[in-house]
Amino acid sequence: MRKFIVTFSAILALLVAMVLPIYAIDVPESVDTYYYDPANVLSEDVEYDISEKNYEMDRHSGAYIEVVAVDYIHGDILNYAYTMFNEWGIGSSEKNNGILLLAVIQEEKYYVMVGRGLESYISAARIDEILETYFEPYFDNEQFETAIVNTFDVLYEELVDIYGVPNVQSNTTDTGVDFAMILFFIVLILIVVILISIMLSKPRYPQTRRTHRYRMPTYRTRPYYAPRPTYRPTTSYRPSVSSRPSRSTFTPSRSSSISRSTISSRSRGGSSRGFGGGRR
Amino acid sequence: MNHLENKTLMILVMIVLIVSSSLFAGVSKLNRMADDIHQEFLVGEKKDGLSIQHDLDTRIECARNIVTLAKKYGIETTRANAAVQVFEQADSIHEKFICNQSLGVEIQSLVQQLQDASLTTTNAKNLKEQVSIFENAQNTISLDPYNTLVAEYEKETSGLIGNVLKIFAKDVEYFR
Repeated sequence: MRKFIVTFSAILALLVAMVLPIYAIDVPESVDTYYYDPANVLSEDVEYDISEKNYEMDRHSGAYIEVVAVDYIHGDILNYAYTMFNEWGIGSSEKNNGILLLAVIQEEKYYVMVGRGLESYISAARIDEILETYFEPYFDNEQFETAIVNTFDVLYEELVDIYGVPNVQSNTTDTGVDFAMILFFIVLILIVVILISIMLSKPRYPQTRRTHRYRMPTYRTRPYYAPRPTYRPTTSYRPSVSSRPSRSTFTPSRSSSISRSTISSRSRGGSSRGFGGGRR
Repeated sequence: MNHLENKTLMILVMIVLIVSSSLFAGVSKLNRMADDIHQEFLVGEKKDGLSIQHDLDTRIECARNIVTLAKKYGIETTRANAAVQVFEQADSIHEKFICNQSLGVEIQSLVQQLQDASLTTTNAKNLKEQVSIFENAQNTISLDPYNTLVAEYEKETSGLIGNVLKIFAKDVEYFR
């Protein structure tokens, strides 16, 4: 019996050990900003710049670079980055074009992981080259912010090469929705007007009344017309100017932090296969 | 027609029909799962071609490039070359896993020898690139959910009924 318990415990321990590396990775809850800095290495200005650039690129293409600086991860950075990327859903869910720039300050590790949609654009060799040139020298010299800013800028340029320069005019999604809404209401109003004019021009029961056998002796009956509809197309059926998204709504202000949820028209949930590079 | 009036026979026929249709449904479900798992291996989770097979092909391609570079510097490449050739002919998933492992060992040895050799700047850069891509492909393979899907399939086919259904269903194997 004792032998059985020992064997059973050994098998159980082995199974737990096999399962642990997969499920033990504990990443923080997804944040609503383009940066996550519990290590406190980024200044306010840098946070703003990261947010502003990401905001425009996100609107333009769904791509953005999530910058994460933590002190410890207590494990393998590859698995940590992979779990974080996929749990946070970095990048657009359709294009899977997010980038995660992860720096683990106290453990002196870093990793850049790209979404599966960017694998054909940015090679692993290019990521290694970027990290060796723009990240590593500064990181090893404890210039964490410079390392992050330089690498972010180069990665951002890579996104610009892929998707073009993001600007307000080139954004088609918001204006597209606006035009579609206006067009929809115009068509709706036209249909309603046509229906009303048809209803008004044709009496509904004139034939029936004329052939009616019984006639009221005291007065002449008027042919029955459909009641005039109470609905009239008014301006209240058009989208009000205030409800339409305007460019000024999307202009980030320094006073308010730019969150990813602001861009509600795009779907989140980008995924990565763990493609990237870094120091483990 | 007299057989139709035989109650026992009809009950037996009904039981056979119910059992066979359940069997058919169960096997179909397992086959669908197996197909999805094969698809995962060959064309990836999102069916975009980014899969373990894609990464293995990438590694073979990088290995070939590293072998060519090593030859240029007079380094012995017979074992690495043989590893590449055996890998290309590997058919089953398990074979591919074994070949991938031995290829990794052979290429690592070649890379070490190349790093000791006095490479030109261009060749050193090229080697670094190839090694980056080669290792990154291994990273993505290690994170691929393929084996998790196989584990789910195995869980589905555990138990008496599952084992019976498994006999008739398509086979799946771990990448290990």
